[in-house]
Amino acid sequence: MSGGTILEVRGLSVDFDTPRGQLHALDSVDLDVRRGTTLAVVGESGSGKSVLSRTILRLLPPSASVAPGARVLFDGENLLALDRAAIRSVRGRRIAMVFQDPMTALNPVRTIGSQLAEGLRLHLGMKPAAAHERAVELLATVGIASPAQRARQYPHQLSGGMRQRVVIAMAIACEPELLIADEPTTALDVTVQADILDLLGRLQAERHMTMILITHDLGIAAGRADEIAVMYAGRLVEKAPTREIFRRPRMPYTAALLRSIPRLDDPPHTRLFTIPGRPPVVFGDTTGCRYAPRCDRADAICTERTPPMASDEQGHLHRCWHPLEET
Amino acid sequence: MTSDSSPTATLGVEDLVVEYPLAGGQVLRAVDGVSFDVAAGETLALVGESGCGKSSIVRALMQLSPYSRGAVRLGGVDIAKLSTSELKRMRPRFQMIFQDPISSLNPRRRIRDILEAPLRINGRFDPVGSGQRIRKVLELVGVDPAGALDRYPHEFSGGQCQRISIARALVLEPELLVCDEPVSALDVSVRAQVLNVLNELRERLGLSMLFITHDLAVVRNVADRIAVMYLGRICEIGEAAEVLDRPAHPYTACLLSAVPVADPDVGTERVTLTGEIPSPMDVGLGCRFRSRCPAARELCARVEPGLIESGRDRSVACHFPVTADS
Repeated sequence: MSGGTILEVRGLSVDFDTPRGQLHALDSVDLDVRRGTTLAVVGESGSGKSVLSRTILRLLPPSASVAPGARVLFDGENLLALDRAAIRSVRGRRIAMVFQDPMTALNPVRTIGSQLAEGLRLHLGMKPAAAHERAVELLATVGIASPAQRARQYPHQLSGGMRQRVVIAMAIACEPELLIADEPTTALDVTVQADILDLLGRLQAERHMTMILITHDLGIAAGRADEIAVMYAGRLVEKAPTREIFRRPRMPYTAALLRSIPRLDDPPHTRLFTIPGRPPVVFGDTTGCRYAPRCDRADAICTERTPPMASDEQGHLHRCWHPLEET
Repeated sequence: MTSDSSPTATLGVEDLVVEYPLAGGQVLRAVDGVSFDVAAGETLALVGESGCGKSSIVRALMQLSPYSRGAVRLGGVDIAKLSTSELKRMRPRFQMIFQDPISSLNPRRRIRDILEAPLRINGRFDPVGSGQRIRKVLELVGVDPAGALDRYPHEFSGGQCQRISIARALVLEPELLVCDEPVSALDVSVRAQVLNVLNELRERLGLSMLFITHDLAVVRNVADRIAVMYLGRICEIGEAAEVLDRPAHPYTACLLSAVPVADPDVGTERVTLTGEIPSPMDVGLGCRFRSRCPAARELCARVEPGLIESGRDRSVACHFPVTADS
């Protein structure tokens, strides 16, 4: 793996204007992604993982506001400071995205081939014939049989798995350095899911792409990521190499999440570990750890003061006043 | 645990065929001769990928859509033979929970009204007893009645709405609960809570459950038996732990190998499927799975394997089942 940090997120806070007040979707997120690696961002609904990916690509709705001091440095350049033309030349070309639902990511009334060729013409200035030829090659790259025929078809003529392959082909068309996949397989069957994840892994390795894989499924993260970042209620609460997260979680939340997954090797009707309560929706100013109300290790300090992000010698980051011991 | 069509089974499905007419006079056969039983107090998981026919089976047995052949028996009674009023009297005995907990509750009704509705519809409402019954079912699913009865569904989280849906299904004291992907829409920490509730209910009330899911780890947790479906037919059925530990049908093995395991040190040896799923319009001769099967041979293209008993409570539809050492 080539070293160096490709993406550096600093002090990222994002608020949404809602009828009930300011909703804090992200709170002071600091995150580094090393070039050529896969980082999985895991969290439950509302944890802020999708807002994070949309902020990186500047795809937030108008009701969102990003805190003034925040920076998203991509290859040293602050994406949050770019004007619209400049961000458009990055988006789709140097950073690409694969969304959850392939049907809404594709235009239903245009052929697969013309949608693929569009990005190539726009970003790379290719001539129509060359772009079409390249589009067919890309379809073959993502494992679509008879790509020339498929290029002439419309999205509804393809299965869900094939559509997601087309979306991936579009994402890699301009050879991006960073690919953000936001729940890329949630809508798919389990065998198709495995195929798509294999494909993403292969492309990532072949092209030395950096990948941010956003998922709620710790199983997917376990098998596919070099590092895992855990989010809870808008905060990044833990980040470490994948094996570290599973073997030595420091955040009580991460440990509890891992214990609540039903496992294939458990006896039938095993009582699952549960976390009492549910994640908070954060309005207004709050202090303290957001997991404290559900945490069995919480005491007075947890509700009074927000824990800082701490690091142990191995660079295992966690945000907890009473982290689990290293065993 | 059960053999074919035992008279004591809570639910008996026999040779069920569900067909949908298509434009141009064609017919799509979504379920093609499926038989299974669910014994009293037993949970059977019905597993398979999109289009395998599991939802069609649910719709047929809930009498929500017609079927062209076969029988659905509840406590030995063929429910297709019942008159409308007899069917209505039967309905309380089989209730359903849906995938999306929020859209399955009427947003304009208070929880009290939502839970009273089944009693009113079935003429069982009485002002005193019903109130107690409703409080009891809410307590069974772990929702505090005092804080819930006068509120609306939007005031609850997805997990709590799913508990309320389960409570609604239980109000009429059913024998059979049909659960269609009840935890697929829930977050990990909440999913565990709902699975625990379902397991507790099975134990405390002796409920029979038909559990539709695509998540094999969930099957492991809730099911006593499992039926794996592929393109409208059962390809393997048996005791859940047995089937999941030692799958005999190559398709079951493929499904299992595709499940992401939440352990970075467990490398899964993927059994990769190649080839396309045949159109349900044109399955042709032979085994339905042969076009994608890693073990397919010449025989598989000619003769469709029947669902044959291969051991105690274990049947497999395959000419060349996976053996322990292969």
